[in-house]
Amino acid sequence: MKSDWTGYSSITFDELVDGDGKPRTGNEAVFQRLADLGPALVERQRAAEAEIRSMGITFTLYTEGSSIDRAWPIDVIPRIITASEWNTISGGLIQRLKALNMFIEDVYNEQNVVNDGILPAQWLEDSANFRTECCGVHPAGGVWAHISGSDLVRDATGQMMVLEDNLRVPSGVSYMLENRQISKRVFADLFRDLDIHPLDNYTEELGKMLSKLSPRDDVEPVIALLTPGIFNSAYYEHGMLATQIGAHLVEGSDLQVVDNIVYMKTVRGLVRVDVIYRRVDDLFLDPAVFRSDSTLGAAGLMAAWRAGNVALANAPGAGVADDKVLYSYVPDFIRYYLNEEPTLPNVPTWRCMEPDHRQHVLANLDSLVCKPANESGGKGVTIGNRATEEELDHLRTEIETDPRNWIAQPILSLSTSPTLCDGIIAPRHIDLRPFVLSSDEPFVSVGGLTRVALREGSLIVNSSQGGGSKDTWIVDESVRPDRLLEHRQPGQQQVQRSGNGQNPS
Amino acid sequence: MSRFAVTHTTTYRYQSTVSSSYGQACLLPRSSPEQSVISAALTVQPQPAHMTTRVDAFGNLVSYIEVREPHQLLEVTATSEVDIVRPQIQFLPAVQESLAEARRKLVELEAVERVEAARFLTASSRVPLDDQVRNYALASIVEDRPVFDFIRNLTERINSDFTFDSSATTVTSTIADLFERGGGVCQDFAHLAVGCLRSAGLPARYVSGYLETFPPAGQPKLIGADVSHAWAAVLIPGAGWVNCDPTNNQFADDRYVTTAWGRDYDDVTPVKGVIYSNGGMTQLSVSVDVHRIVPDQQQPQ
Repeated sequence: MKSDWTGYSSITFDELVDGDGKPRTGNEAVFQRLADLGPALVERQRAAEAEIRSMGITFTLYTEGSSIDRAWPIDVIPRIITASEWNTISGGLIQRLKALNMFIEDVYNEQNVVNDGILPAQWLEDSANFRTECCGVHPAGGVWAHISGSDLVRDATGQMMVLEDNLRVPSGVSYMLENRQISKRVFADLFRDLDIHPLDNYTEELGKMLSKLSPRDDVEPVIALLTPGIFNSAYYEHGMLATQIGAHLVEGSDLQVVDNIVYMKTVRGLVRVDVIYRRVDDLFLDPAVFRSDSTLGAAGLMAAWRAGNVALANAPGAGVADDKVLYSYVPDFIRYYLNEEPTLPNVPTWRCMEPDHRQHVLANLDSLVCKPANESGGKGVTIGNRATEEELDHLRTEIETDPRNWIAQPILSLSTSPTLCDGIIAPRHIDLRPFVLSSDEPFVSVGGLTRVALREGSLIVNSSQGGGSKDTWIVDESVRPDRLLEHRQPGQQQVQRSGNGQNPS
Repeated sequence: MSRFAVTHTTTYRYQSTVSSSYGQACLLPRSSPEQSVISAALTVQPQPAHMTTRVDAFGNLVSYIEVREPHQLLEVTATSEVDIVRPQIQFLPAVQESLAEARRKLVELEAVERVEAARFLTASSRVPLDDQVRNYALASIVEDRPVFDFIRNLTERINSDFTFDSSATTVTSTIADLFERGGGVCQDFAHLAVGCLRSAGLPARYVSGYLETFPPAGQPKLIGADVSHAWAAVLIPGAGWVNCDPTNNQFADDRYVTTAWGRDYDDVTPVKGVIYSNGGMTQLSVSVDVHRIVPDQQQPQ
């Protein structure tokens, strides 16, 4: 029963199959097994949905006032990346984050990148997330963005590129982990027979990285995960990660600064906190320094951090490079700081504050995607060929009024992945958010969170705007489908992959 | 040269007991080419559990204050002695060059100075560069006239177009509020001047400090009757930062004591922070004394 796949074709680059509907090199084994399932694939999808409900995996949509928790939407057909391509991608991410951390350290200290004319000073000053309060601070090892999630997309030619960097409080990693839990249950047979790289070492690596940040090396570090609380859209993730890494899940009111040292209030009195994995935005971290009406942070936190008495991950101000105008300079930063060519290219970007760029953008609004420089979650994004005349007029005025706040990019035909839509396998656009842990031993999650735009033709994958997700399989292409049977004879010892996250080279 | 002893006391009286207070103060005077700081100290009552002073991104001295003793009265006092020598601006050749020339010369500054200048060229949280500000500046802008005339004309216009009225605005007021009400205080005037200077393409700072004042004729000067003050400073290549005071329609002279500067008021807020208490009213009072002293003569403390 392979009929479900015979009609499958995508108008753009498809991750699983080529233009002739044949599996791409390295995907043969997975394709074969999925095709063999036939209509039974739908049963696996139902099983996955049942698992989500029983595991209680939820996320929150702020637009839905009444019921704040929704079941996490997963599509059961995995997104496949070959191990050799993944090696290149993860190397490119490590390179990018190394340069980004050097950039952040530089702009809060010497500002050589500006003095040397790589980045115009004004674009730095205008970045909404440039916090002068962080100037002069040197976090341990020069790392500011300890945990980041860059969004990768593939264009019609199959080129993987970086769409944006998330250096503030990137979320989604719990869904990456849960998706794997689910697909291991509903595809136990495929996990047995295929060489799918494990990814659950992420939390172990996260815990290790955070522990190393502790300012005290004579005691077991106390790690706290600072959450804004149950109304935050990622609260589920905060709870799950805290449990897995052995961190205390705290809210701002649980913390107290005493003599420039951060403590948490417990039933046994105050306990000193060494490392805070904060999931609260900069401006809410410390009411004595930033927004005085914030109840989500702790007064005195910034002074304690500046004095080196507590580590904050991510460091305040790390989001300076999330500004989409600064994003457009990241390839230049890689060349400037590392003297290397970027492995992963950026999506071509026009900066509206540059007159010739602006002219081009205003003349081609209907064939570009325009984005505000300092928003996230897809807010304010206008896709030119899907906008009405009125929307474009409004956009034109906005760009002319505040050109610094706008960038434009070509409308990418994001790659597709086969997705079950009402029982039919159809191509849907996807992106990929891998998570990078930066330290002297950088680590990239094995795969990442693949987000999928569930509506036909839609390019918006954000889960806050109705997107779904898929498990991402990094598959060793050396395992050929015709070798499967001899490869996994009953009783044969299965090769255990060590959990250190190093990809085989 | 002038030497001043400055005492600036900020007192918070709380209706109910405050268990702890976390804040920061930007009250200690900074050094500059025109100002040498002879001594400066910050004292807080009750005694803080922790207090550190650091240099912020703009070179100002910012003190972090952590008070954890229950209290109903918090008093933050900054005392300092400074020497001030300011040049007579109008005699500097660079200010007699045209506005266009001054703007052009910004690109010839050394890289570090150019980067420093860029920080003060752009809109900031309290100084939007919107149509209202741009249009107001336009009436003073004559590209081929000396840049000195532009600054003087702008300072004069702000001084005459708006009335000094401390009931018209508050510390959180915007430039739009100043236009709407037609009056405000030095903070509002300085913000508008900074916005106009920036919209003319010149880097401009918001400066906080004090101005020596004189009592009405025949009356003794009362201790604590002075106020903190704010004005604008603009960078003219070849002349440095020129301080102009729209509130008093003059260029700053030896009577102006500088505490700190930044992009706008938010960068140099004198005292801010949070307190933990059971609620109730807070009463704030500020007392400032700017006292001229004769150098080399010991003053009674």
